[in-house]
Amino acid sequence: MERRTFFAAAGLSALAASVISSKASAQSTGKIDAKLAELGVEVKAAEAPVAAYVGWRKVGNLVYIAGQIPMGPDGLIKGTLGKNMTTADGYAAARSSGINILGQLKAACDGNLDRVKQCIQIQGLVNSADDFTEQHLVINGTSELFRDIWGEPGLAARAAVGTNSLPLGVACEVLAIFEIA
Amino acid sequence: MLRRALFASLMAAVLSACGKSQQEASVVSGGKIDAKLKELGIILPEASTPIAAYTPYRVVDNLVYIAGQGPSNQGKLGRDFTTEQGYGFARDAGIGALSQLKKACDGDLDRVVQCVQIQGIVNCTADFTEQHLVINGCSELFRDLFGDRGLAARAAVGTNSLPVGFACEVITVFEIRT
Repeated sequence: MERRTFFAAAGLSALAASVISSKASAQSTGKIDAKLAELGVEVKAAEAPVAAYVGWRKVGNLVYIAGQIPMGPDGLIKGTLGKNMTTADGYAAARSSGINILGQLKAACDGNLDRVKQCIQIQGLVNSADDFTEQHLVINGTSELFRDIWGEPGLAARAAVGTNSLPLGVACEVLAIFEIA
Repeated sequence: MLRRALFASLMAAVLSACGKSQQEASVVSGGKIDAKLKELGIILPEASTPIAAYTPYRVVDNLVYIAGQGPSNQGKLGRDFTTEQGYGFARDAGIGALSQLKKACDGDLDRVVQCVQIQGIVNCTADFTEQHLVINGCSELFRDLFGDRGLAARAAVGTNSLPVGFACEVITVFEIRT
């Protein structure tokens, strides 16, 4: 089965892509970089996509960021809220997804996060047990990070929802749209 | 088959609600993307009619927002279908999106500048974790058709249920030349 072989290869390349990340975008020393330093947030180079997509797309002054998954010190943060993760764990995971969004956004801004005018939309999906109902508190991990960085313009028109499963078993996935100058 | 019957009745309802017959297929253009579709052996079906109270696409300036498209298959990944079957379903859903896109472009797919966003939602069991490989069916179709411009800022996610039991649903945003 040709497809089967293809999937084996795709799986391998996905794994490879998740461990090899491209080099950091050009460093700038702008106001937002200073703010990140103050918050102790280290924005790593944008992660290479794990499948057939790009990390971000720019159209006019809008930047669409691909769904970002959370990374911990031991790799992907996996789990299900309400089953083997607490809301606090989920909050940390969503914050990590947010930091990965910043990596993509920084690349889209040619390294200069001072170009960001506002966060327009956040969609946060939380890997949840059926009876877990605190998705909004989990996705605050992303929202509050952006608020702490940009203030009110960092707050997005947001949706937080639950789902029964996410790629590779990750705890959350966050999509975002920004306006840049 | 079930879907066909369901859609026939839904379509009749929608059509009578609209009080007009479905528009004719988009104008056929002899463009580069049409040639590419032919090369890939893809014949775009008539753009489907909405199954509820929505519009199949919206154009705002140079952006086309396409409503969620599903395949003709009902069931769940991780229970009824393999990842490779799901890949085929996501590809079919992508073909559905192309039919809408072509209509939005007045029949000329050469006006497509880039695929901006794909949101792919996979109907799956809680232990299924290959949503990204399923949605590659859509992503790789667009890549094969438009090249790197066809790759989107993408999200692939799972869900426990989709309308009419669709195995997957894809929501897309394209940039076009106005």
